[in-house]
Amino acid sequence: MFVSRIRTIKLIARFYGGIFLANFLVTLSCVYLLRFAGKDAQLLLVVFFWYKVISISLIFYTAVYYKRHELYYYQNLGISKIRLILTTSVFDFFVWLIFILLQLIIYIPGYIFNLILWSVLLIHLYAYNRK
Amino acid sequence: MTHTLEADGIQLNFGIRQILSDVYVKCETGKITGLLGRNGQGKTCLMNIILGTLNSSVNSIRFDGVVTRKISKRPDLLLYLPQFNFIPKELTVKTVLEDFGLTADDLNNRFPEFESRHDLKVKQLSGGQWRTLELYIVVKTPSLFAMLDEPFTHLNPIQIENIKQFLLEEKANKGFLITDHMYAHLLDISDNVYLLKDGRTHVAKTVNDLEELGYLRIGY
Repeated sequence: MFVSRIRTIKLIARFYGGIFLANFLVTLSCVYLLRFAGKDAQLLLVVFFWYKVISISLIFYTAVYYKRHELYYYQNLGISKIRLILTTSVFDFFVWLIFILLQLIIYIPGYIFNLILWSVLLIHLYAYNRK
Repeated sequence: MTHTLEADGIQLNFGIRQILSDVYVKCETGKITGLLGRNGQGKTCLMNIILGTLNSSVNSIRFDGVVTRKISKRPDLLLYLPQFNFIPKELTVKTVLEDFGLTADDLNNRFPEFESRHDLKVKQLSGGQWRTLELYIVVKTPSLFAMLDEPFTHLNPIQIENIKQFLLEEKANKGFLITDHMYAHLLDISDNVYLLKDGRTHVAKTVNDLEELGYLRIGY
C-alpha cells in the first residue's frame, strides 16, 4: 500500500514537472507585483487570485491537450486524467498561496526571489539539455 | 476460474449520426476476441465506452455479470493499448518497466532486440520497437483483460509473427479484445471474432463470413 502510494506520488510529480516552470513563473510574477504594490498589496490580492486561477486553467488545458496521448500511460497505471489535474493544480495553488503569504508576512528580500528564479531556470535548462 | 467482460445495449450518436445501436461483445479470460470493422464503424469508440472514457447514452459494461462503471480507474480489471503511441517519449525503457513493475530480464527473453536498449529513451527506439514495448507492458502487466487497438501498426512482418506468438502464450493469463485492420492475422489468433457493421456486431468465424458481411472482397 505504502509503496503503491509512493509510486503514485512519483508519477504525479513527473507529470507536474512538465508544467512546473510555466506555473512557477506565474506564481513568481504575482509575488514580484505584490512586492512593488507596497502598502496597497492587500487590495490587489483578489486580482492576483484570479490571475493565478485563470493561468492555472489555461496551462492545464494546454498541457492536457498536448499530452492527451500520454494520459493513457498514467491511466494504465491507475491515475485518471481528473486525478492528475486536480492533484497537481491544488498543489500548485498551495505553492502560490505559500509564496503570497510569505511575501505578505515576512516581506522576502528581492535577492532571494532572484535566487529562486535563476535556480529554477538553471535546473530547467539542465533538465531540458538532458532530454 | 474464467472471468467475463460483456458489453451490450450500447448506443452512441454523434449529432444525428448513429454510430452504435445494437452491440454485444463478450470476452473471456483465456481467449482472444477479435473486433473487425471498416473505418468509422465505431471500433475505437466502443473500446473507449468499455473503458469509461467516452460516454454513451445507454450502455451496460459487466465484469463477471456485475455492471461496472469507470473502468479506466481499475487497471487491475482492464488495460488499454490505444492506436497511437502513448508512452511519454522522454522516458527510458528502464523507467517504463519500473513504472509497471516489470523485469528487464523477461523483456530480454521475449524480445532480445531490447537487450542493449534499456537506457535508451523511448523516442530513440524505432517505431516497431516503441510499439512492441507498449504491447509488452499492456500484455504483461497483471489485469483480467486487455484491449488492444491496432496492435500490429508500425510492426514489420517478423515482429507481427512474434507478437502473435506472444499473445497466444499470454492469453492463458488474461482475456484480450483486439481490433486491427490486418484481418488475416486477427483471424489466426482469435478464438471468436465480431464484425462491427452499421452500428451492430455480427459474429464472424471465417474469411467467407467476412465477405458475406461485406467487410472484404476476396479475389479483387
